[in-house]
Amino acid sequence: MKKIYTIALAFAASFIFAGCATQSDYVDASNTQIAVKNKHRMSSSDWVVASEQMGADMLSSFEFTEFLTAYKMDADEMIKTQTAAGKKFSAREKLGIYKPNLYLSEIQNNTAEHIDTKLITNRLREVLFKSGKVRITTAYAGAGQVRDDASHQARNLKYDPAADRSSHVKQRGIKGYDLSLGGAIIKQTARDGRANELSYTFSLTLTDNSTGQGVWTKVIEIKRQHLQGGFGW
Amino acid sequence: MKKITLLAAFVMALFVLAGCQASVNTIENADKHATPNLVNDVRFVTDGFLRDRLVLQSVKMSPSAGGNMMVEVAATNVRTGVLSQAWSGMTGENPYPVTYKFTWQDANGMTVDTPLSIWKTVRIIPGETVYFRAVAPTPQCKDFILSVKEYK
Repeated sequence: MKKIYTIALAFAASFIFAGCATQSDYVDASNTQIAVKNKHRMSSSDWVVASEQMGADMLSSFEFTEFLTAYKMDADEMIKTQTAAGKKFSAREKLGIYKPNLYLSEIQNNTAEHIDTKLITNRLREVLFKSGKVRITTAYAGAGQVRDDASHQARNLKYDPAADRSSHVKQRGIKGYDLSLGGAIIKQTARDGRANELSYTFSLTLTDNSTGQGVWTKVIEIKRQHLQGGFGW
Repeated sequence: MKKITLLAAFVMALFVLAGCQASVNTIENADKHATPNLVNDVRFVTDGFLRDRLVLQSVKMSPSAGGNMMVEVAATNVRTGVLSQAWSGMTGENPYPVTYKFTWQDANGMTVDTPLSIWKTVRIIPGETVYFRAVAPTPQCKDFILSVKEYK
């Protein structure tokens, strides 16, 4: 009789544990409401919100637009002058001449957390690039950003006897950058009794590298609060 | 005697509920200088409660300096008054939490996938007007859809 009870109990327990298991499922990554948020650390949704606010501000910025307009006017003048002097521009060269080249610079992490700042710079780069306002350089990048060495390696193909000589790229063909995106992330916390507050301040600047002047700047603060439970942490 | 006690309790309760009120009063210049581009809107309502609590006031659209379209939708939390706010407080809806998302469409009416299109949360105090704002990801995007839902 005791054995039967034990087996029944084991069955019941297995059913309960099976019931507790949940499936891992895909959710909408752009939905910051349903995202699971770390109470004391940066979460995925913080990056999503920060880059949306930064990106929207960039695209509607009067100062940045003023810079783009001036850049295009300078490009027009340069093409006109050099064409008159006999220089010819390829269609691909013109693509790079009319739009400033963006360099992802360093985003200083002034928090004690391990933060991968590419999570914001890559999103902003996508917003800017897809808006058609800038070109981006992948051949150069600041500390902590992704750099693609392929452009440099392509220049060394001339030493490879197996490479087709007609497909060699020009030694000095890599375009320099005109704009750089850099900044800092600062963390602040506050606590009053059971009330906890976590705040991240993102401060980003776009700099015109030919003059060293900022053409866009924005500071945003992502703030989250939670009430600590009566027991535990 | 019992009636007097009940009446006193009722008056006390009213005072307590009135004390719970935290709604927004505003003041603004009556003679406006701006000439906003108000656009007509089409609404598809599936949540009547949300429509009645958060009243959409206006939809403005204008191009930014860079040519990207900007949109601003004004909405007011009209759940003011002692009883409404007391009920909202009991149901955890004071301030009223809603989430919203802008979706942009290109010249062909196709939706555009962009990091600028995300669900965001806002908590609205009774009487407060919030301004849902967005910027189109490209100058080619001229149309938008704003989705709003209660935060549950």
